[in-house]
Parts: sequence; structure tokens; C-alpha cells
Amino acid sequence: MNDDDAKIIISTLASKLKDIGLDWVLEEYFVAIRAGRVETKQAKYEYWNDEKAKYQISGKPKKVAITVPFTPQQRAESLVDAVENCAVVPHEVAIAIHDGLKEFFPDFKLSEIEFRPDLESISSLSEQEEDLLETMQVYHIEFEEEISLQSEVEKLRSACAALKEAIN
Amino acid sequence: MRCSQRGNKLTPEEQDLLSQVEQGLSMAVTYRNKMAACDLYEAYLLMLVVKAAVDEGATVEFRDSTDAAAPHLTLRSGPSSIFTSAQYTHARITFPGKPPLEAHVGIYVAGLSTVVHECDVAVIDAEEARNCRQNSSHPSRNKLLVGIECKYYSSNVGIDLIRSFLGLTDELKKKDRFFVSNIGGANPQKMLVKHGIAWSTTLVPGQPKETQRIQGALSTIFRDYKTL
Repeated sequence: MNDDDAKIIISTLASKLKDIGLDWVLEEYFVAIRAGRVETKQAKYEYWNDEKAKYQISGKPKKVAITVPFTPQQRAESLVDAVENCAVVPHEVAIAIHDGLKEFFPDFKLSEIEFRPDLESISSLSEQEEDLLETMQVYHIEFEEEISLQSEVEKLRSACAALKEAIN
Repeated sequence: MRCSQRGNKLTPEEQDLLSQVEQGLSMAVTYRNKMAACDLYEAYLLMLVVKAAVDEGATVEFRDSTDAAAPHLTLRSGPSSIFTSAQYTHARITFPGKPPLEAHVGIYVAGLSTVVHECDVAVIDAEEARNCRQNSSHPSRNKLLVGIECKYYSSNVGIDLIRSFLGLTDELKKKDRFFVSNIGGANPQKMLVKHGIAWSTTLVPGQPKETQRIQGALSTIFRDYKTL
């Protein structure tokens, strides 16, 4: 896939992530892309020669670390990875929790996990702090819903794998 | 797929794959905020801890903070104290003839300086846990058998996370502390290796070898605990 094609993949997926409210995925993607890719290379070093009173190039190259920008293809592949990490992997994690606990605790009621923020410490919030409360919501991971999504998630995983192959 | 000289236009096959990913994203995403994915990942590590303990012959029961049997799993979303009045589930781990342990998600632990730090997954002495609930205090690092820092990211984790974790290990000790994430990169791995930390930066269910490796490391800690 050429650079322009890779950029089409990036722009399409970035728009989609934004449209469905997955801004956090885009934010993390941009941070990772901005950081670049660290590589090592052999480099000749200059050293100060006292006798000649000038810098000379060392004959023995040194291994040095450098940061290089991602290519459009690498950026596209990273964004597809990010899609998997927000849509495929959490689902697999939920199923693994369900299967793991069910295996050891057959009698345990395992229809859901409740995630509950501890509101005890922030019981008297000021008006300005009410935004914080909005981010602290009780939510449930319903295992039945996760199980029902398995075929969709598997399709997405396969499509991501094939798209990454096409990018490369 | 064939790569052709065709300018900036995807082939029909590539366009179809891209559309499938777009559609799949809409259908499959149930975790629209990051916190949900992070909380779930911590629950996954709790499950691995429990499995490792059971593998080593422990009896595990899920209990709430009154020590009654928990009817279902209620875990913290975000860190809080072990002594909160809110009812959260922990796993009580019992090895025959040994003091019981408790595995918690998202509790504060007091470090070397007595400053408190969040521990994403913590296995602590059950007696310490009970005393802390009674005294409204945080467990001491000396009673922390296992501490796991869990990081769930959609793209590679930054070096800053490793730096802060290394600082945390100065406070909470280095032995039997883990750094785990679903995605890593070469640099975080190098740092963790250099500092002798137990780690995995590809710990997801789709990586069974990595899961077994971390579970094995946890089993070894429990094996030593029941032996000593």
C-alpha cells in the first residue's frame, strides 16, 4: 500500500473513532505517533585530540539511539492496532474473566461485574466539582451481552488482521 | 493483497476491508470510555491472581468488606481505601495452615514514606486488611505480598508510565511487584528488564504464553508463601 492509501486508512478510521466517541483512543494514538520510533544505528564519533588540538573522527563507530518518525504505513497499522485494543481486546478480556471464574467457581453468580466508584470521599462536592461526579458512574459489564457479541468481535478481529496485511 | 501503482485510491478489496472495520467498530464497541477498559483489565488480573492461588492449592472465596460472602462481583472503579463503607468484593485466599490472604482491586497502600499509593491489584495479609478496616488505615507495604500495576492503553505506553512505576517500587518494594500492560513497545521493556522488575507488556487473553508466564510467576509467589 502506498503512502496516500495509508493516509486514507488513517483519516477514515480517525473520523470513525471520533464519530463514535472514542476520543481517548485517538488521543493515545497521537501521543504514540508524536513520540516516534526509537531505533539504534552505528555512528562515528568525533573526539578531542589534545596533541593536534582539534576534533578527530573516531575510527570505531558507536551504537547510538535515534528517534525516527513513523511512516504512513506504520501509522496506519498502529491505528488499526488501536481499533483492536478498544473494540476487540476488552471484549476478549471480559470473556476470559467470565470463563476463568466460571471454571473455578461454578456456583458463583456470574452474570455481570459491577464497577462502582467510591463516592464516600466526595459526598459534598461544590458546583464546580460536579463535572467530576459525572465521570464517576456505576456501570456493569454484562457477560451475556459480551457472549452475544462474540461473532461480531471475531469478524472485526479478522478484518483488522486482513487490513494490516494489506497495509504492509 | 497486491499493491499496485494506482495513485491515492484504495482497491475494492482494501475499501471493503476498511468498511468492515468501520462497521465492526460500531457494532463491537461496548467500552466507550477508557476507564471501563482499565477497570476491566484490573479485574482480569484479579482473576489471574485467583487462578494462580487455586493452582497452588488455595481455597478462594469472594467476600465483601463485612467479610460476608459476596453475591456477585462489585469492584472499584478508580482507587479508594480498603476501609471505605462502600461494599466492594475481594477474594479471600486460604492455604492450609497459613494465615489467610486477601486480593483486592484498586486500594491504597502505605509506602516506605507512609505516603499512600494506588495498587491496582494487591494481595495482602488478611489480618492486616481486617485491622485496616477497623482502624480506617491503609495497609502497609510490608504486608503486601503481591502488587500489580495494570495499564490498559490503545496505543503504545509511554516511558513516563515506567518511570513512575519505578518510583513506586522504591516506595512499595521491588520484590513481587509487577508491571503489566496490554501493549508496550521496545523501550518500556528495556527499562523494566534493566531494573529487574517482573513485567509483561503484551498481557492479553490472545497471548496465552504470556498469560501463562505471569500466572506462573504468581503461582511461584504463592508456592513460596505456603512453604515458608
